[in-house]
Amino acid sequence: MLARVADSLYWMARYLERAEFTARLVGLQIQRLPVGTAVEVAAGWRLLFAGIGNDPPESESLGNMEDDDFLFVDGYTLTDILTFEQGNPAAVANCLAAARENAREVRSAIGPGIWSSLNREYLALRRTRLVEVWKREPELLYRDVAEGIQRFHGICDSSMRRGTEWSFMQLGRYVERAQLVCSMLVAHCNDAAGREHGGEWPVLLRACNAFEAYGRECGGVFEESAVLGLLLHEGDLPYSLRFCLERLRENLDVIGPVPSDGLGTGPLEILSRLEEHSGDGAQRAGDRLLAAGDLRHLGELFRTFHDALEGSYAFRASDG
Amino acid sequence: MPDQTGTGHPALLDGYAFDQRYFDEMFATGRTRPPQPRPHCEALIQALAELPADELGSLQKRVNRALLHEGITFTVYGDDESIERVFPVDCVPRLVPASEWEFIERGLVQRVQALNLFLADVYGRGLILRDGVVPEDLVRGCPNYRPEMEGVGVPLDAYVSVCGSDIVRTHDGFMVLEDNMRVPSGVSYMLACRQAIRRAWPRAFRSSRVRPVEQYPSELLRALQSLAPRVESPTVALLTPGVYNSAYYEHAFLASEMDIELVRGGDLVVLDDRLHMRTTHGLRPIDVLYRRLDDDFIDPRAFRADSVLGVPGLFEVYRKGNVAMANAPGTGVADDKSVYAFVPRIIRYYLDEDPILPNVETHLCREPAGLAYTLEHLDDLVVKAVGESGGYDMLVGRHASRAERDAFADRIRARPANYISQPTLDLSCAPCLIDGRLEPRHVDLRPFVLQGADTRVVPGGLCRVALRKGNLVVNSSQGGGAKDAWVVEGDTC
Repeated sequence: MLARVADSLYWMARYLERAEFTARLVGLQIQRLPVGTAVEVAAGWRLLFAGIGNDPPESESLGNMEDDDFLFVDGYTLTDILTFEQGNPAAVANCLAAARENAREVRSAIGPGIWSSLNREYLALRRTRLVEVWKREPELLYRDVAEGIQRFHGICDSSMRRGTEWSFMQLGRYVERAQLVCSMLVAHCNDAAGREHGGEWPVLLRACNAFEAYGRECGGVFEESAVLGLLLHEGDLPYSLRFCLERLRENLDVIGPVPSDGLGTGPLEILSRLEEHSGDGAQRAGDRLLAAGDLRHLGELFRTFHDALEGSYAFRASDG
Repeated sequence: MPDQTGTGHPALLDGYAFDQRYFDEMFATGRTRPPQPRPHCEALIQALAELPADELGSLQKRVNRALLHEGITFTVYGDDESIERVFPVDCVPRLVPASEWEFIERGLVQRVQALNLFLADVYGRGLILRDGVVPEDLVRGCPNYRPEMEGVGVPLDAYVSVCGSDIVRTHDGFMVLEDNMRVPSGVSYMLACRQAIRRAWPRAFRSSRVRPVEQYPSELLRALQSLAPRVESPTVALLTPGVYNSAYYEHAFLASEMDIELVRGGDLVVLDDRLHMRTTHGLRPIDVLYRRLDDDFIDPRAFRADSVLGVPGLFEVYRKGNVAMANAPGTGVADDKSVYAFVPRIIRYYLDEDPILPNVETHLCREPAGLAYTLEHLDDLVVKAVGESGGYDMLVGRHASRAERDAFADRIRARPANYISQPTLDLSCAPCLIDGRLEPRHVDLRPFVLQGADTRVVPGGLCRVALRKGNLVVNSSQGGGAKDAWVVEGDTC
């Protein structure tokens, strides 16, 4: 398989994961604009921006919003920034466009059905005007985007051979997911202000499709240690770090050994370190061993893992 | 309004402007009798007649939507607003009866075989030049003549493995307007049109017994594999300039259909006199390269030094016979618009046969008589630059203003050898859906010929259509679109 194709498949999947996760977070945030208090809404925006690594453009104002009208107008602006703002590479539309550009590079590898599925989602969002959507039920837009990306994965799931193409896509998908979850957990653990009003854990759990699972396992009280325990160690939950690590190992096994040595630490070795650092041998829910600092370290290890993938499979060798 | 067409569907064809000057592909027109549906079009016309009033418009929308979602696009250079455009496809197919197709097929096979012999000769012994059949200075001075190819062995002498020749029809019959022998494009649009139109007209498609075109990618792969040097299971790859090339969709489509790698120059490297691609598990050799970029760009060491699209050292590997390339470098000399004028003589010289498909009368401005005739009759002629394609640097005298003609005349006088002229042809018309009604528009046909161990022509081709009323230029870069071309059982009348 061409190194450039592997690179494009990997990045296509990363951008799609980013677009889907951001869309889900924005949709959840919009849902509570009409019902949440100003403090809750402000905390939600703050965590959302911090979690996806965006600087909120008017961060000073986020803690001082009292007037409902202002709240809604500001909500529109922030939503626009996270969805369509051309200068924001993390905006949902830009992530989807970047995914599509990568898919164009590998049209011959993914086949027409998969390509056209992604192209349809891209065109649908490109035709959308937030000002129009905002007048009705804006959260539906984000539901549609997330479902469209899930549909794309469903088509891939049912039509792609489980070879190296598939595995590089899975690597991109789960590296991105793990980094996003780590980043969101760091933001939530650091959010002292948010904790004062009960925390934003339910929103994060919903964004990670883990709200119902939490309720079944831990009841209706949202505690940081229990949430961390679930999102780190519960191997049956698709958004837990353990789940992501298991998928990464499976797919590295499919891709096979690194073609050459001497390129520094290989991805398998980094993966072992990741498993060790996030494993439940060190701690379980409640002992607070994995505080924000530890989670940040995990996030950095995932970045190292990404670098090792690029170096080992010569992703960037063809650029020159 | 009376039904002029015998379709039983006057509303759809209300105002269909039959023009006796042009051959109509669907209706037989005559001075003494009303237009009649051609026999091979009857099933389609019946299907048209059975459509509810607004259904054709809905059908066109469905076709457009399918093309949009599948990303069947092309790029127009210099258009900053929208680089990617959906390829316009008219939902009413053009039908070609089998008897006519067999004539076209024979003519194309003859032509490609003769031109391959011509290429082997001019890069070899040069007999046709020595015998004065084609002027030597015309060939050696052609911008697409590659002296680097002199003496280079080409597998099976198949210099041209893929040829797209543009066929037009007037009341005088079929003619070849030009040959595309460098990197002919459009075949993926032919296949995409077929898929979209077959879905749109399932019953008419079945009842018309349309000959299939879907085998094109497998036949292309077979032709490419037959060129491979000394290997049992050759590795074939398609070299594309990248996603911003106007035909990128086609490159990706063909690579996917043939299940071969779609590579860019940066993916390839020459090592130990072999061409390799960079994979996730190291270098892998390539035996046959279906290159979709011009000679100039394939190797900066051999051709344009500033090319970043090609592969340094590729031509040397090719010259040593360690990789095959389709089409071979230097084939552009055979589709040069000046050399075109000599194709009938080339056919007679190598095959000792009369050309089956005639050329369009062509005046070479490099010759004093041709220049004088061209300048005197600019109003009636189409003037083309010999090295251009895609409808660029050309003048349709009939549609140009006086100032445009004068300016073009100056360009011809400045570089006469760069231009040829041809009469403005009364291209045939076919019905197209325009603003909810059928209207005649000018069409041509680009069938694709494959040359490997044998010569094959896929039945049909890309039917290009000038969608603007009265326009004679069918190129997509000039506002043209396409129709599906159905080769159907039957005869014309």
